[in-house]
Amino acid sequence: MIDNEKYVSGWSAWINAPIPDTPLQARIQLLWESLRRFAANGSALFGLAILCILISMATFAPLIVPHDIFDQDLAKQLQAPSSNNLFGTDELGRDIFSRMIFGSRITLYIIALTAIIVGPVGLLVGTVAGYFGGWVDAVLMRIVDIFLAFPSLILALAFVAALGPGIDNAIIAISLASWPPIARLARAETLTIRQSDYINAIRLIGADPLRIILRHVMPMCLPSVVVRLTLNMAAIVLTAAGLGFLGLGAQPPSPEWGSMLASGRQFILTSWWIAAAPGVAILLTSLSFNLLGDGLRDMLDPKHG
Amino acid sequence: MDKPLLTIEDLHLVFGQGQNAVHAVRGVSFNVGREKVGIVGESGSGKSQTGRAIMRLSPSTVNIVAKKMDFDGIPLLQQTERQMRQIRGNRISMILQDPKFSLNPLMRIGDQVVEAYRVHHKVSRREARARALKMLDAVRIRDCERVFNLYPHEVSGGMGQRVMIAMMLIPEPDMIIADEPTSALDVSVRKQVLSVLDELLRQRGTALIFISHDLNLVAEFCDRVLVMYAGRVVEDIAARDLHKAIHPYTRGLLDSLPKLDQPRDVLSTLQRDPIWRDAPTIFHPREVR
Amino acid sequence: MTTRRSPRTANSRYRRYLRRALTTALSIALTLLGLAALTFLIGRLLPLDPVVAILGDGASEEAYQAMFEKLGLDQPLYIQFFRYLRDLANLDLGNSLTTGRPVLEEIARVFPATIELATVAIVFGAGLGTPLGVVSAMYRNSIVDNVVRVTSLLGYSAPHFWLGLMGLSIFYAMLNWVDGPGRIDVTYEFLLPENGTGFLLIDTALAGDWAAFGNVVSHIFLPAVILGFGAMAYISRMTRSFMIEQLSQEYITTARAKGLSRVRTVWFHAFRNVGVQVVTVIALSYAFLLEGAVLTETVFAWPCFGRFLTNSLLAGDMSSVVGCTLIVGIIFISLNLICDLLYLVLDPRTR
Repeated sequence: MIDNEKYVSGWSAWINAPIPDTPLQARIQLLWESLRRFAANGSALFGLAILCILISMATFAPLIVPHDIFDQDLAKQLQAPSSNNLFGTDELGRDIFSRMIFGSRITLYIIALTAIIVGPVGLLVGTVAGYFGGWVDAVLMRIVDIFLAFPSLILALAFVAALGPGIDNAIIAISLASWPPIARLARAETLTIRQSDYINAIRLIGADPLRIILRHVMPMCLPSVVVRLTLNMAAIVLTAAGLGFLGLGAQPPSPEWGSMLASGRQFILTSWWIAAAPGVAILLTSLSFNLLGDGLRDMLDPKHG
Repeated sequence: MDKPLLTIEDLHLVFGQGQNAVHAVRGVSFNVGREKVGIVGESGSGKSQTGRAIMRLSPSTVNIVAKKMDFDGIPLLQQTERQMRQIRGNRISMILQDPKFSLNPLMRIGDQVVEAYRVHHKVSRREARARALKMLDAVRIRDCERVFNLYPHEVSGGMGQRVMIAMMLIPEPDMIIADEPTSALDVSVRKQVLSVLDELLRQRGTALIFISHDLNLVAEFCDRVLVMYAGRVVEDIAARDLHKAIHPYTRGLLDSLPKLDQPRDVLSTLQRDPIWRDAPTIFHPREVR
Repeated sequence: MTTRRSPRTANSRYRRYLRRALTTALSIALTLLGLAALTFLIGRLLPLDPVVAILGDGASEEAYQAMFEKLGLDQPLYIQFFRYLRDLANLDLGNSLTTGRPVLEEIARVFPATIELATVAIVFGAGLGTPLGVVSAMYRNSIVDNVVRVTSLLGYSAPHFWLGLMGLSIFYAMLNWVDGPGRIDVTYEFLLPENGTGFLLIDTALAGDWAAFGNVVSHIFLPAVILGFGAMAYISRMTRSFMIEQLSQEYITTARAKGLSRVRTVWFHAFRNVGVQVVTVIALSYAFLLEGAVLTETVFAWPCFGRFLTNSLLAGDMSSVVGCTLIVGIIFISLNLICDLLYLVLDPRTR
């Protein structure tokens, strides 16, 4: 027997109604339930919080930095953290704290662009390969296998070497190295969905393959692709930092976190603060994506550990 | 009937805590002697959980409370884990439902049976192997030597379940709890597996608790039937007196089973009454012989 | 009742194996071909002129033309690719544009250092990561579990080269508990035998030079631990996940119902069943150490494969880069193949 007396007030009654009146209400109820599950996950919220801090840092960067990031002052080089320079100064006298904040813009730029490229491309290739099967599948998966035969950093390295250093080339290189796992995943999901009866029903109605893929197959793949993409973002942050460290990403004097670590490298043994701030920033960014990804996965598939 | 082997009084099983707590078993009491007792109920009635609670194999999130849960004088709830290990397999055993899942897929059948014996008896490997082969023969498996070396996925369901029986009877326990032992088998195979089980139980005088959702099966096979509903025992009756059952749930179950000799146009469906959730058990005492 | 009579006789089983082996071989050959094509294309995409890279800027017109033809750059692309393949078949990866020596020889020179580091790292990572994963799954959601999970989360969220930098500055510069960059102190370097195995740990031990051995250990400790930490994070997380899946299976209940102890149930039944998966994960981590090593090696001035790759990259020595990329690709594919084979051999259900 159901306690209808508990849920009296408007929103509460609507969202908790045991029998929804419209399909829209049902869908919103499901979404609400998933969000509640997500909110119950402390670590996922923590990850989300870090990400929000990062985004606000990047957005309001010019307003919060205490110093100009390109301002060199050789008299003040390699100074330990102080009240004036929260994270100290680097070898050219620049304030590390300010540079770190601006560096978040570069990081977010790289992440966002990579996600925009990798997501749709991987999804498209994967679903097309999985849906059509046959030689289309064989050819596409062969290409994916070739890309997967390399660790992503080395592949990105090779591409950047061929294209030349620079932040945009770095993004292209990282995207080229990161799309295969998404394609693999999308294909696996498509293969399971392809057999199901409702896809057969739609085919009987006469829908053409493109419509089927776009409107029916892709939305089903979306949850796991989003989860995997979020988790891969964590690795992409590390790869981007690695490329920056090798001098192949954003070029100096750009305050990219990886290159900040590289330029401070010679002085690290004496001035540890040069590496501390950017490194922790990279760590927290990657961590936030890992936590967020785990939280999303638990939200969408609560059976996981 | 002489002194019962297992005495359970007012058993409660609660999953989880606080608001989300699920009271799976609510005050179950019964006795089991050297006889075959069936526990019948639908999904969610708490019958499987009762069986596992007896062996203290419930999930870690479960809280078990009972006024009394004694096996041969041993208070089961007060036993330490080490003491329970002496009891499990050795004195009380359990047969699970589906041999596809309940046997270790990467271990040979013979090795699993041997392990069941060697846990409780310190014998040489050769002797344990001989005993295992003898046991496989006792469950009517032909070509024991060959089956000994097979993996679980290489044998049929019926044979797998007989292997399970062999494995659980080899340490010669006093009581066996069978949790839906035939539910995963084809109907044609069920009778054979049950007859093997019956023969072995009779030979050794082992008690049996047969948990199932199939009232017909239990009524044929067991001496006594306990009907469970919503975590309580609603009726406790001898199998041969089942047609004299009083509780409306039992009667509902009986009426919804088709019978060849009493054709009906419309099978009755069970009408559930909320009163059943808290009604006391209807206990039909055993006849004095 | 009899057992299911298998329709597969011995003969047809061999035929099935053969067919499977052939398709796998074909698949690998195709992938390798694609690999070669990819590296070839990367090599061709270069903005660098390989002739200039060899001869320098001030070469005369004729010398340029001569070298151009010698390198085969005047031929159409598919012929160049063909030649490339032919050279590969002869194990000729071309010559390094910086040192002039064959690329393969250069790689062979630096590889032992990489293998040594990777092996020590994986011993640390797997040796610690596997039991931690098992214990974590056994006592799920307990304090131990949470500590392990947090640690491993930090382990694969942190950039390893940064951990290397911080590690050096703390444990070397400040505390002086370990030795700094390089494989061995300069003082000992001259005492090393000329034709050693390249594995300094083995060479010094065989020579009985324990002072040098200790020095090598002190140098390899920090990079190996840091690399291993990353591997440990991944391995423990995967092991935990596999174990949780196994521990919820019915046969575990059966084992406990037989009266087996928790320890035996977990290690002898559950862990054995994930054995193959764990080995696969470890093998893949070993392959990934090649990647993480690239950056860590730069930090620790480790004279090995990753450093060779990076230096070639920065110097524009594309033959070396292409050669290295190819080698890495081959290693990855081989490791994947070994893992597949392991599954085939060790899991009776696949036979």
